[in-house]
Amino acid sequence: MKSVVILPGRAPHWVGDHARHLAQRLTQTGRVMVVFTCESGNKIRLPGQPGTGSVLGNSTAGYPIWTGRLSAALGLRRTSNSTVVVLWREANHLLALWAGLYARVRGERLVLDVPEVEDQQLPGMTRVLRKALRIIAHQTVQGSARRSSGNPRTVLVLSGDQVEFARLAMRTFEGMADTAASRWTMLLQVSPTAREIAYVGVRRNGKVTILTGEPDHDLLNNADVLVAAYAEPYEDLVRQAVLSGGAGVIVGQPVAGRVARCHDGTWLSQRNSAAILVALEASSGDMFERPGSVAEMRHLADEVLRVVEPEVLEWSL
Amino acid sequence: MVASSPSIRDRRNMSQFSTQRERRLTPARLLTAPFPRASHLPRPEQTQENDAIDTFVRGLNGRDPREAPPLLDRSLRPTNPSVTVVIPTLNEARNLPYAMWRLPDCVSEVIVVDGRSSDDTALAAVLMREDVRVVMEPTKGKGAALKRGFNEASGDIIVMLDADGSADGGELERFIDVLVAGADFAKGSRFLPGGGSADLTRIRTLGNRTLTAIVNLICQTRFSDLCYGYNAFWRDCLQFVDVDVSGFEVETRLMMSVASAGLVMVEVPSWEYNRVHGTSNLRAVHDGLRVLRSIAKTGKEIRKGRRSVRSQPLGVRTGSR
Repeated sequence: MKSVVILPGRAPHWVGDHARHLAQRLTQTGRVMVVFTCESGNKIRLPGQPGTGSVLGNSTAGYPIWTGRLSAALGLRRTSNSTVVVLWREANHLLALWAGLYARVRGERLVLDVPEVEDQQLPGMTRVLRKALRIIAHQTVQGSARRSSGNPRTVLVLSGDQVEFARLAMRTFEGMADTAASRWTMLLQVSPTAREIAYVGVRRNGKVTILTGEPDHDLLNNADVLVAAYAEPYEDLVRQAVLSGGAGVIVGQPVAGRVARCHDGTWLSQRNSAAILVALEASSGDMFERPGSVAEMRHLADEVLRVVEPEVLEWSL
Repeated sequence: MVASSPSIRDRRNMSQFSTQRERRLTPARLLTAPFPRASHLPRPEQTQENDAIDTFVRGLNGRDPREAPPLLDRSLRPTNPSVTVVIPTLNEARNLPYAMWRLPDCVSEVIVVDGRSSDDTALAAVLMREDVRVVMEPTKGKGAALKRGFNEASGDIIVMLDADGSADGGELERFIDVLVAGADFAKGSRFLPGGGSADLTRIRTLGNRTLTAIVNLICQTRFSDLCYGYNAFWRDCLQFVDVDVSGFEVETRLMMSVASAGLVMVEVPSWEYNRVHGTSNLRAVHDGLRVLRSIAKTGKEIRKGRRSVRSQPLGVRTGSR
């Protein structure tokens, strides 16, 4: 089974992350290539954020997730079994139509992935092209994400028995600006041995919830951002969350002061509140205007996979 | 009017000076010889005419041109300096983390100057880092905030940083290295190789280039970027740093005052990022005209009389550490 995921046009960060997640899931059954037709711009880049690499990452099975360029979207690529074209509002729909037609001519299964709900009137030509794409596609998966929804995001800090780290997390919540705090639900997990941890601040009273004991399975799957300390037991959970379409921040990684993000999509942060706040905003999509929550985007990826590759297993933490 | 006779101390100073002048000046002696102080110089006789000239000259620029300019002793500067970052803020609670998150470990103090914000900037700032100190300054304007921050700073090096998060704190080490290598003032530039901007529009670039050319003409300098707020300088240069203006012209005023003083100002490449939250208060045409007016005013002051610095080349020690 071979699949191609095409992003026509300059893809925003959240589209790139969504494609990465799709690719991760699709590599369970075969070779995957993600085609970026444009380089990402510098406009929405953080200092220390690395650029594109030779591959998008590695699947859990160990295979590389290949990347392609404009030429691959135009047709200079190996034949695959299925082609997924991701569409967002500012995508190059003409290029998408070309890629879709080409896939159909080569006998590939064409699936349209539209994460955002069409709540705004699209420009005339875009509307026509999107309609044409829907006609030629075998199936369209429509998401329900809205850019202006402003739904609160959930951050879960996994501190376990590290009292200092838990205190740093609470200081970070306390230091968050009021306008930002209204968009967050803050959860702090501590182990039963760390009983002395209690919220003592004044600014986020009633907004921070302290959970005692091992993190709940559902909570891990539904949290938008997982935060854990570097080289501590919960770091693996953060890495797995990123592989399964979530967002994660690892605090205290030695190179965090110079490199903002790992190649697998995990964000790095130094051990201070300012750095953690930046990593939270960047990873949750607040900074890059991600339209939906992690749960919504995971559900969308599940739907796409069900269409493309029904035998791909459900993946959860 | 009887001329007052020189005091015993003045006589001794005069004799010391003349003796030094009479000794043979070998290159080694030239390097190690102390710089003559103002008090070493023979004073002219005080007559009524001289008093009148003094009054006339002082009336022009408030300074006596015969007065020895202040001495800047670079040899007293430490090689491992402490660094204070000054951040003037106005309703930047959401952007403050972006201004501070990449500050290197060499930063020993961060001073956030607030006082006119209507949001929780001051409260949030205190919790960003352990070394943050919030100073309240009720006077309006970036210049007043910077001045207050400079006065409160305790580090050997003072860094100016914008609160909108557009400057990368990770570049700070480059600025500090330039200062430790001998410069008095390290000035960020978006137009040097290695620098750039994700925020500059064409009209702003054109305006900046034009204003930079005018300043270069007046100050006889060769700068590439005028209106950029990421700068660092040694604390002992504070007496030459004029920031007594309110708006975005503060960087222009500062740069012209430092350049006209004869300080060693070195440009450092820097990348300007987009601000993440909110919109910039900058209005290209309106603020461009303000900068132009500031250039005219400062240029006039420079023409009246430069307050130049007197300093020795690197490697010549006049003081003790």
